[in-house]
Amino acid sequence: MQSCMGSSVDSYRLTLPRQLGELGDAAPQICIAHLEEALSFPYRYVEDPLTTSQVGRLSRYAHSLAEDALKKSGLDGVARRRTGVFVGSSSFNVGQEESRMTLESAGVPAIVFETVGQGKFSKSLKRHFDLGGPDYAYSTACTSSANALLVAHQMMSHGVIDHALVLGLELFNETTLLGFHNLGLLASKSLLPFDDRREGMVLGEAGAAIVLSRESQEDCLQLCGGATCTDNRNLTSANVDGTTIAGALQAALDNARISEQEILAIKTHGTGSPMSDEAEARGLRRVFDVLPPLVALKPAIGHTLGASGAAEFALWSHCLDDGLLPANTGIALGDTQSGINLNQQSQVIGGGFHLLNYFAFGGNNTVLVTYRQ
Amino acid sequence: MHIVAQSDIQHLITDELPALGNAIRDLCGQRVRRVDRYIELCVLGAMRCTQQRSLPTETGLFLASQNSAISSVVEIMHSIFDEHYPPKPFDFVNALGNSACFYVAQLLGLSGKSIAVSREGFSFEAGLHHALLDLHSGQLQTALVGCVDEALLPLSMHRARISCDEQAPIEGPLGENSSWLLLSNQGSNASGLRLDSVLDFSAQADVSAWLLENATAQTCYMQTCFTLSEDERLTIAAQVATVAEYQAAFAVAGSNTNSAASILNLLANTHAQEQHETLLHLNKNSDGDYVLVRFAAN
Repeated sequence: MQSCMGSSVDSYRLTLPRQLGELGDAAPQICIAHLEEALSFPYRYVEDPLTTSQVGRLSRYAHSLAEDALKKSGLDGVARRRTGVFVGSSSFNVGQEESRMTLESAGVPAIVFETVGQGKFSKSLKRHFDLGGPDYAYSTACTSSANALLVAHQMMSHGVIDHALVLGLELFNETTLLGFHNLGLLASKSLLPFDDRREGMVLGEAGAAIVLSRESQEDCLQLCGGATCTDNRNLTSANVDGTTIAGALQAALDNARISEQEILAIKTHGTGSPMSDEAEARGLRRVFDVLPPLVALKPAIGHTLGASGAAEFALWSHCLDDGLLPANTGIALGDTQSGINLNQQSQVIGGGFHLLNYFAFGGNNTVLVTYRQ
Repeated sequence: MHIVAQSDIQHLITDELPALGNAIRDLCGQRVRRVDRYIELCVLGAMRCTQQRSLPTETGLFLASQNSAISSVVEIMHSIFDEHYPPKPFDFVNALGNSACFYVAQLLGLSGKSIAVSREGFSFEAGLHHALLDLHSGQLQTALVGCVDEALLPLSMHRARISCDEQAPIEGPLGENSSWLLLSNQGSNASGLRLDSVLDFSAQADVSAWLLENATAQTCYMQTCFTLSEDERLTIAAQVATVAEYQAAFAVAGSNTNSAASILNLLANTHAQEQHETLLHLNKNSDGDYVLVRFAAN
């Protein structure tokens, strides 16, 4: 098991709603405003004088989050030499590239920065914070930072490193927004997972940094393992019969060497898109005769795509640090067609295991197993 | 981990990209439709490596790349910002880092782990390290590891994109590569070699210390990548039986596939294998970090 020694997530700056449904209809289609207020970063980096030093918004964002998480973790210089970097994002610096193209189209000289190379972010973090372990970048769409967490866990388990700085990053860009819009996957109002009223997803923007450590620490969330499987049937949707998601759930349980009866609660992927929710619902029912309480975090923060692995892990950690399982009041209530009910009332949660589900385009299905005393 | 098979595709690009469709159709028995150049390179490399082998469905797939599907990303942005049209659905999905994994998995019937990973200067080594951890732990019995980077036309745009300084763009030839290794805990071992370890070092002194402890008692052959200085090679030469610099037919500027091609060249060096028990590949990135890959005779 690896302990979550410190984390920093944008949504932490929000008053994390105990009632996750309360954003409901009020949720904006793109949940970015709170991030700008929280971190005081201008959305359009071109207005920021810092860009003259070729430091892009994503890099500054990542460095700010990482600094906060490392500070909270208390890792000293020696420990940092045994720390690896793991960054997950589906878009990395696409937003910056868009800004550059906009400028060039307007005849404004473009600001010079590195435009390709996903590994540049992880390398710059390693260098900036003087971390001695390897640095990796993952791009597996919506499972990117979930896979970053899982590989970090694996490398610590094998003794390659003792600590890991894991980041999930997803900043607004028009390519992603228009891409999802053209696929017909965006909801007009709110994100209502497993609910009969669901009509799609609401995109969110997020960044999260998490420090994991091999050092056992009882009063924090532990990452115990998990699994990644590939659904090779459909590029943009898990198999709706639930078999491939069930396979990922079972592989994660096997990896952590626990049974489904030991799971206290599940953080669903819960995007609110009809097929994805259907596949997840059926997958869950294939593995669990009796479902434990189910929670969806995306109604609160939107679907943060490649950042969702780390962002939702961090939010999950903060919820459980308070000893409470959050609720999705008013969402997926009663006799739903999906056969899934989300947790309706915030409740005290005891010690035990949980599953965190993440599913992605390209058939990448990842399930993490966590434990909280 | 036994090295079951390997394949390497390298194209030096001057003004146009060689067509891949017929080669893919010949290997797959079908055309792979609605895919971009990057996915074509991945599919062709993976299929050449596996060569009609029936792989276990739980085979792990590790796709490494420095730049991933850059031509699709540029195409989408051109559509949005120059033509003011939203991206076509397949263009959008193909631009995701792991869509190529889906097509390779579908064609090979794989449903196990798949991951797309990048590490500046060391992407293929990263893919090997990830696969090795799973193979060593028994999580996987078979792993397919690839390193793919494509070229973007026009080349002037590609050269500008891979450079962080447009006033002094990266020089050297540009090209595309798709390099693959099939690894297994079991079965045949065509090369007579196994992948033993992938190790990280923060300084050349650390590399030397490791060699002092692990290399001197054996007959080692080391192949260094382009990024090591002559002084470093001389220092290492004092510790290792044979040191050679990888001499590439051409090195692709701004690509991690150079080290992939280097590793495949090392594995194809039968003379070195006959003379030495251990083959080492040493690479260095622009921050002065090193990765060493060790292959040992069975």
